Amino acid sequence: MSAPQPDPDRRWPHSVYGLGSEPDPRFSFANERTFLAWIRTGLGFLVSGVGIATLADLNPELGVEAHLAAVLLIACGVVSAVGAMSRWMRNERAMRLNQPLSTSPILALMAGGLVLIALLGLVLVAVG
Amino acid sequence: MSGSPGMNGGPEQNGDIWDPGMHNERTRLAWQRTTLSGLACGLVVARLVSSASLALAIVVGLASIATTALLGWLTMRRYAVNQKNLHAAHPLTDARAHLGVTVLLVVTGVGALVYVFAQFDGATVPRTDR
Repeated sequence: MSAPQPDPDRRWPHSVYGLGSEPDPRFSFANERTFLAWIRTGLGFLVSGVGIATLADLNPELGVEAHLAAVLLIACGVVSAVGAMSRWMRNERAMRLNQPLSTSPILALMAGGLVLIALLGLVLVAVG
Repeated sequence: MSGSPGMNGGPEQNGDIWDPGMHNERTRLAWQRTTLSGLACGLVVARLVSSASLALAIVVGLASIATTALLGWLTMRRYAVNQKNLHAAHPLTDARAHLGVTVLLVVTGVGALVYVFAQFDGATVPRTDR
């Protein structure tokens, strides 16, 4: 290669790019797209939470359950965002070190959150 | 494409372009989908919030549009830089954009929580009489 290589240590985060060797770029792109899918999921959670909170404000019949569901949805959105970054970093690091990709508790956490929200929805429907 | 590079193999060193742009293009489209999702969510939230506060709705709407413009520019720039780096067999760009998007979403989430708690406080006062 004639062109000079850019210093990989200058890339952020150093905790990822300072380790191992450059992985196949196709896998890095796939990791990036997975990160973005998590971000879109988080956006969906956030807008759902704000929507339910606004509906609860407009309809006084909806009680504390609706606000609780809204808080849970928004919390799931924030967890999705933080988890997306965390997963991206761990996966990229694993690929650089030629290690298997790690599992994450975020999926179970999201599933649990969604079940809780669904139960709250059931309570709202039953009460209504 | 002349063969596929293996794990940790990096771009091929023989001068051939290992990927004629498909993965980079798909990733750019994923960024665009995310940006558009953010705009849609922002405008929906602005519409919902407008029933409570018109000023807040305008702020949310304008912030959504500005963020969309910024992310759109960033998406184009990342695509161009990655494309250039791939052709030069250089490493891809770093994850500052990832951090930016994550922080943006967390800040939005905190703002949404503040909004929900503000609504909740207002709603619980009359509800205690029921």
